[in-house]
Amino acid sequence: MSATVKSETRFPVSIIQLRRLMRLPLVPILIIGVLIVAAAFAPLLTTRLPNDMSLPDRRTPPVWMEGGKSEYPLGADALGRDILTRIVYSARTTAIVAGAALLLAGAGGLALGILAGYLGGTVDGLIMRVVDASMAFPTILLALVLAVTLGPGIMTVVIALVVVNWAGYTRVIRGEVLSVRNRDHVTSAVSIGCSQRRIMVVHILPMVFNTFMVVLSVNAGALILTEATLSFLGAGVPIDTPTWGGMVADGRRYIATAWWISAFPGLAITMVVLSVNLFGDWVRDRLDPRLRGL
Amino acid sequence: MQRYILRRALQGVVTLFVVTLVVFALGRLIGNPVDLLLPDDATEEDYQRIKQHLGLDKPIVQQLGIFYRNALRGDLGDSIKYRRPVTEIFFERFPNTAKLAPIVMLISIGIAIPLGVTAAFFRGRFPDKIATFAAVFGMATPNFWLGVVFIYIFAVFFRVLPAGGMEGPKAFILPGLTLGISHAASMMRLLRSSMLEVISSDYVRTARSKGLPNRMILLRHTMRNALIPVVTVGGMLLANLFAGTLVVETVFAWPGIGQLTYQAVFFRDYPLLQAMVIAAAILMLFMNLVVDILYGFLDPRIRYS
Repeated sequence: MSATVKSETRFPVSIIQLRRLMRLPLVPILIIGVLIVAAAFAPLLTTRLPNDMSLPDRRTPPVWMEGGKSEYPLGADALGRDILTRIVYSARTTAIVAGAALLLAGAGGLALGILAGYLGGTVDGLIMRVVDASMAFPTILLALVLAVTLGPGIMTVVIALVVVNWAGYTRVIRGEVLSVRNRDHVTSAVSIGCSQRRIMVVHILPMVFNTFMVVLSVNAGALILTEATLSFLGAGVPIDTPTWGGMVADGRRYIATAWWISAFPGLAITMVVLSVNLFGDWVRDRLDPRLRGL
Repeated sequence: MQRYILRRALQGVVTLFVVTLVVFALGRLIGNPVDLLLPDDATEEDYQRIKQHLGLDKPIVQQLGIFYRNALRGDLGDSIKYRRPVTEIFFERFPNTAKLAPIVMLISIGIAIPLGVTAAFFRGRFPDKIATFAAVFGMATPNFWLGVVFIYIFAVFFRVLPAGGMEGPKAFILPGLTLGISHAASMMRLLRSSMLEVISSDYVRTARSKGLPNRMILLRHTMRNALIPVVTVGGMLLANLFAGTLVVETVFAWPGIGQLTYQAVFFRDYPLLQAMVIAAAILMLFMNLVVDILYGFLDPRIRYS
């Protein structure tokens, strides 16, 4: 029956496949694509450098406003730096920092979650108490304290973001492990004498990987927001590295005369976080709609 | 119930102990407060004297003991910047932030409940799409930027509200709105999905088959059960008051604990920061407990054993 349907309806099937493709969140993917291209090819996209100053051009309005200049499509900031160039280079900072932090926190949280869930007992108790304690800190406060005590640097921000992020993965993954650890394939692996390490890597990890991908993609937006907040507060990223958060902070003092200094970088954050969140929702609905509550 | 509360309180104490331990360790491991206090040309003698004064010359275990002994008496040391007991400064600033909390709460509930109910009622149709998109947008907007945008619109362009400070009732609007909107977004999303769950349940179908008007069903049967997420987010809002106000108080020059924390971080005022972190953790643990207990009242099916 199914074979005949398949052969007879080759054309409708391809339409179904097309529609499945169409359900891809196109606009978010486009925006994330722009972010990645901007991050990767920043020097090719603009001839200027993010810190090139031109004091006569300071606070030049965007090109469509009176007094705007074509060299500064989105205007210039208080030091005469091109805002568009800085936004493009900040994409690079965001992509590197958020990407590294997401991967490190995710991998660490995943490993600890599997350990806690599978080994149980003292290991579980110990890991989960640390999870509780680190979740008792407000995210921004902990990240801020870390960023300032470790001193400025890209690595500082990555470390701070990892420290505030890993516990969420551990908590969710541990729960998943608890629900799969007594499945038949695991108990038979135990009975034929597999090592604990092999069981965790070969028999447990694939079972929780979908959930992991969902938590990862759902968390990414919040992580970018935390990064932006840290750079807005001036903690972590060195001053000469352009960041969207830092640009919004720069423009705050000139909000009465030059709104564009703060407006465009903030818009960039919103668009990117929005896209990442929508993409995350799509990943979740594809892989595991049960996790809607996350 | 009492046993549950007791057990949770004990767990909270353990967590708090871990938190204070981490705070203490961070303070001793990274950076020496004496270096920050003294000018570059200070003599070795000055250095030792300050160190002795702060008790930093004693063995680390003894320092920890002294720290806990004093903490239990409510003494968390003197602020380096203000040269006064940190608890005193904290309680001086706390009311300012506390005054902001009910306004933030009102604004976020005022936005979230109507939007969430409307979205659930018109599921999949135009009003739902608008409301859901607004929530997704709200969650993606950084609150510091939202604050700056509000200052531009209301203080610079229309000149109707003050851009900062806390002079008069008008000053509460922008900080309240900024914080309220960012909380309303997640509250609305949760409310919508739990309303949808309740709407398709058997007892709502029964109520409908009895011929009750939609409005009655919505208010009497669905709302109460769908309120749980509002309580959750409301509790999170209060528990996260520090984190939320940290940014917003910085943007709006609001003299509360958020701004105080920000200053403590940047002046490396370690005793002050220590107190803020501990206060934040206590608030967080306490609010989580309150939320869990409230669940029991809202939903008698939730029983704690």
